[in-house]
Amino acid sequence: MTTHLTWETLNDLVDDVLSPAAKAAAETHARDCASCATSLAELRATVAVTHDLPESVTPPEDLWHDVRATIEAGKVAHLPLGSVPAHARGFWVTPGRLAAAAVMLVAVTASLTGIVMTSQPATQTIAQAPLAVSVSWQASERVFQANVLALREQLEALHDHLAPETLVKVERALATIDLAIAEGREALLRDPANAALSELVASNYRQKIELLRRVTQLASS
Amino acid sequence: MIDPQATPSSDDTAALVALAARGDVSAFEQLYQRSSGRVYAICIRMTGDAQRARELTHDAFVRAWERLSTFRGEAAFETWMHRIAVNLVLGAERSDRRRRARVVSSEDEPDNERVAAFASPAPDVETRVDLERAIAALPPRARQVFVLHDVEGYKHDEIADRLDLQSSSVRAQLHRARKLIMGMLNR
Repeated sequence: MTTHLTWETLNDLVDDVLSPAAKAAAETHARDCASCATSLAELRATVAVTHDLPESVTPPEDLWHDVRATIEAGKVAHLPLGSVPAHARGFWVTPGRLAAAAVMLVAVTASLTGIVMTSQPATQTIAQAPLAVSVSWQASERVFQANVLALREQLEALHDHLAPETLVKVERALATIDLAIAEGREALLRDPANAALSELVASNYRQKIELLRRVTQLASS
Repeated sequence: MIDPQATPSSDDTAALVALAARGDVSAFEQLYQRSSGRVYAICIRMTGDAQRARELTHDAFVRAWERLSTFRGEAAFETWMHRIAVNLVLGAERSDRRRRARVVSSEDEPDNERVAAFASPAPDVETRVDLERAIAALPPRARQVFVLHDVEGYKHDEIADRLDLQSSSVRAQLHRARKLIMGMLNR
């Protein structure tokens, strides 16, 4: 009586990795043995169905938004710090202009925040319970915060290079941006899926980073 | 007349890659739209975990963005993305074995979010969903070998290289995975 084909042999036969002699022997056995022929057919069918699975699976709809937020944060993070040549610094880099720009930046930030926050439907501003923001947004925010921290440390080291009145104005501007970030985050906790809100908070972070970067640039020039 | 179903030409893709490499996020979004389904498919099948697949897909595209300047166009963009995704999945698995222990086990109920992700109007949808659920329920190593071999078409030796296994172990894991899959489908 002939021994049935092992599971290993059946698989190797399906995968076509047997030697020619072993393959011929296995095929001959499968032709004569109903049990092995059935097992082989079932295995082939399973492999075929698996092979025909769709190549593509639709990802979550909001995933691109998270990818975009991260790469936008990365674009800020990769900007050269303190190494921009003097001719490329342009309009910004004088204490007076910097302070004026900071005031303008704050005004724009505050206005934008006001517009977005007040344009939310009433039903969205009445929170049921705080919801967690997305994991990806948290990751993006950590990148923003790490950038802020690094720039803050650079600025601390260059503190004495700036006039006190410039520092006061910059700190005031940063405090206003921080307030806008805090308000935006609070709204985002109530409405985690609101893309406009998350973009607004990201934009506020970017403005803060930009301001810090330019102040650091000024102090190191 | 413009055919909305037409596959984008390689020239078109090359132009988008060039734009994206110069910082054009909109161009990169188009590349994402074209390749994210394939990247997400490999991530969700290899991990069996919807949240993990989301994170890995996110990371794959962020990594691609960072490395666009190294893309030489020898392979299709989708193939390049696929390679990045496989490397990320395997790298994450190596560096986080504790997480691997938490993914769906054969006794667990399938993840509803994951199952929903495979919903489709295809006529054999039931078989396909059952199969996807069975793949998700495989032990992690068997699942990786099975997906790479039977879904993605890798050879035994290629999988052995990627997973740092002997070719005989790859075969054993594959045979075990198929037996488990058939058992689950026949329940």
